[in-house]
Amino acid sequence: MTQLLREDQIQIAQMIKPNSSVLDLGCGDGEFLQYLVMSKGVRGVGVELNQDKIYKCLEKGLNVIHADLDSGLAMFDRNSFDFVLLNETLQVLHNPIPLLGEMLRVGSHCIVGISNFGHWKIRVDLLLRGRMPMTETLPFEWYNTPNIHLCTLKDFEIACKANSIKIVDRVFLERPPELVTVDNNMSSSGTLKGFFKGSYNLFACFGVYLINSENR
Amino acid sequence: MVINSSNSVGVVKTQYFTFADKAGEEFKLINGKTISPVTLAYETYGQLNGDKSNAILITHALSGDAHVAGYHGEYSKKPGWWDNIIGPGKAIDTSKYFVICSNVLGGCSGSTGPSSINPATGKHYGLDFPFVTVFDMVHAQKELINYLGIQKLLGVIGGSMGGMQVLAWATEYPEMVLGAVVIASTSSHSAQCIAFNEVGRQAIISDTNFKGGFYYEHANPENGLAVARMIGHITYLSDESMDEKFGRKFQEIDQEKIKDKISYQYDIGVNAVFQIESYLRHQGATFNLRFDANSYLVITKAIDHFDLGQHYGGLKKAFEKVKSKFLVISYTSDWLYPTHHSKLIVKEMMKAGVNVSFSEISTQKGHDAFLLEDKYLSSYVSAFLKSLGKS
Repeated sequence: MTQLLREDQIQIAQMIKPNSSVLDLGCGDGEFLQYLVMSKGVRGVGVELNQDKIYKCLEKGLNVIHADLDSGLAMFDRNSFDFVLLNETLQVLHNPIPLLGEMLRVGSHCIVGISNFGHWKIRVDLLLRGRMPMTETLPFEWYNTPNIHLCTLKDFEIACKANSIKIVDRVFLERPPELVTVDNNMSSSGTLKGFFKGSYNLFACFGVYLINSENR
Repeated sequence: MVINSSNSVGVVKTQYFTFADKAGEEFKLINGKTISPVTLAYETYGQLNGDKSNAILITHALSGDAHVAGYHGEYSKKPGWWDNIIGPGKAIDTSKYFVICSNVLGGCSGSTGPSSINPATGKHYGLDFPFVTVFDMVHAQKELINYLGIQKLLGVIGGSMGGMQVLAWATEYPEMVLGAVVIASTSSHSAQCIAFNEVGRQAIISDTNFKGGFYYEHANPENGLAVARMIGHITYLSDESMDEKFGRKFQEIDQEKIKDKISYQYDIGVNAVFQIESYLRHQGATFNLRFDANSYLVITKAIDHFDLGQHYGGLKKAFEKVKSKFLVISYTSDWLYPTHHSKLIVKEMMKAGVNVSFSEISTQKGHDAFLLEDKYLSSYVSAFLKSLGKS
């Protein structure tokens, strides 16, 4: 069976050690978590709010916990996972920084994937049109967007520093993440390189960060 | 009623299994006391497959019985208590699974309980019936499962007190349970749960017909049991569901008085004026037709004293024994066993490394929601069971 994953998910999967334990926050229908379980042998648990998606996870035989991330991760014990994932979800939270703190309490490492609101197309869009940017990854009007806490990659890194969060690794995607067939030779496909990598806050569409707590 | 045979298990019959009935045999309770013989009433639906790997045990709640699906006669009006989820093509699909449900030890629907004859005296046990626990109920069910030749249950599924039995099954017989579903349940009663049960018990005990529990040759403590059922029933509903169903509506008979403006000319304490009063009285009265007051005492005591953590020296310790995969479900408007009871179970299970999933289903129906048809409960249970088959 050919496995389809989004390019951001491929980058995240590469950061996860085989046979580790993974908590996937906002795991949706569990497609990605199932991939990690099957291909990396991880012990996985998903967290999801939507009851229809919880059903999809159960169907796949995944362990899934119904919870609202805005209420924290009280169900989970300190240091109970090797990796805690939060992909494309930070921007919908009411209190993103406390959740990052909760993630670092529960996991040894955390992986956060975010769209870059500082990408040049978004900047040009606002400059020339004078309207709130709408892109492929952010297709909403200002009044109906669930994305209430968008940030640029630079913003995210500054927030990490201010909250004693250490960035261990980071990968930048040059295009909005697309579904691609997984194969073994694509570790760096679609990532920013050279000059563009130096100016990632302008050229990256998406950033994947491996973080942990400076205070460990 | 004509039975819709396409998704009903059809006409079913209660069966009886008796053990500890030969000389020298006895069923030992965890408090050291013994009962012999022990009879369990049970029903089964579907076919046990060749390698006996498709058996699902359903465990019932306080007032439940073995009749969980189908009809007792071609013309019977009422199906089993969980017919909406059990049957061919339903979430617990009897065309795939062999489903078993037995009346609990201490019950009054065919299994040995206080209304059974005590062989030592030739009379009803009454309150000579020993104190039984949820663990004892499960130990007795294990005898039935052995008798049916089943080594490993594909699933054990139960709501409320049934959920306590599921927890006891997975901790007492970890090798025998592949999948476990705990619905609207708890690992131990809160003070509030015990309080409501105590009001029910006191209503029974203070009925003049109660006579220390030896009422079988006289009149039953019907008023006491009815009040106990009424208070219990309130805890199974919710503020919203009662408002929706009854609100402040009056009984038909009093509609004239409403039109008449209100004259406040009511009998006090005689006629039910509000619909909710009438409903509760009806629940109390019909409960007397099928339930024994002593069983109500025995079973409410069993669930009040159920404390999984205390039994094993800590909840995490209890769950470290578990090998089953778990699904835990709670309901938003269940104030008898609120969601935090389920979350505690899930949290301690995760600490102990148990494979567990959890969902809190949104509903206004209160604790009793688990008995009602619900898209999410059905789809969750069916998906969970299917995933067990794969692993």
